[in-house]
Amino acid sequence: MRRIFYLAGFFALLVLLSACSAPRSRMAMQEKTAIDTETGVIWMKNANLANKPLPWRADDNVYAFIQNLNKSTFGGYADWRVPTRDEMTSLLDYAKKTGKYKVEKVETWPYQALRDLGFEDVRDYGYWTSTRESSSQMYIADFASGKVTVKPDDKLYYLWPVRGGR
Amino acid sequence: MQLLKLAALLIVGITALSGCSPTSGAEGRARSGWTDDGAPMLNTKVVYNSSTLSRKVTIEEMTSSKVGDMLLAQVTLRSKAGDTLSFQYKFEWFDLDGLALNAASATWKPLIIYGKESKTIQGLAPDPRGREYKLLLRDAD
Repeated sequence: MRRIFYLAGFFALLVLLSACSAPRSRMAMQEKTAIDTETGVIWMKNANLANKPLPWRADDNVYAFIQNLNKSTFGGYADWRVPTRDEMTSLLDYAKKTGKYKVEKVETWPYQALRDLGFEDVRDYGYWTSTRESSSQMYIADFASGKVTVKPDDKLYYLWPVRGGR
Repeated sequence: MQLLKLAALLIVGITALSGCSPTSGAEGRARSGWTDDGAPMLNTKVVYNSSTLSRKVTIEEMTSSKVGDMLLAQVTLRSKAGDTLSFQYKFEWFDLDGLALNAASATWKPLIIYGKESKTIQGLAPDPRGREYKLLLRDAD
């Protein structure tokens, strides 16, 4: 009887220890945003607010969308911007880590891991960063592969506005 | 027949008058574009102070790029004339709301283009608010 009691106590201790050592989520989810507690970057909860991919150099482009967001003080703020290459890389690294990324398992890909965290409408496609490589190329974050690579700036990609950080 | 002669004379007269007008302020609208950060370059224009100049000088290309925080405009002009053209130019810069940034400080610069040749000129925005520019061309003094 005593043995059973000790065993139960041991298991209870194990459960308690594992709960305490479990990694806390880096993202503090709010109503419309999520705060990255490590970088200070505030991400929109909806990763596709424009509801379509946007061009960089054309009418109704990324610039115009950000301008409108700030004019309308979306979420109570007027300093929304396009995330930098480093900010996107940091988010992708985090998504791969929490989703235990394996290339052969689609359910572990960054876009899926971020959806599981509570982000909405994260697309398995390229997202704009604000970092330019040349006069015609920019860094694009791919939420399927988890890589940030250089691509021509005349294509359409999704926009995930951020504020704060830096 | 007399009516035909009168009409021909009238057409010749009007053509000659419009060609000699000294300050007709001809404007050529150039291609609008977007800066490296995606901001629109609205209503970029070339303003000639004489129609003679506007007939002899054509805009081949207008581009812009960011130098640090500032916008750098680059315009390639080509002479359609056989002889050497001597004239002046200046860039006037505006912010996105159309407010002039350097209307008082912009200075005229001399430019010479040899017959049928082209030349590229550049203008740097006076500060980071400069998003729209006008290139003004006038006859040399």
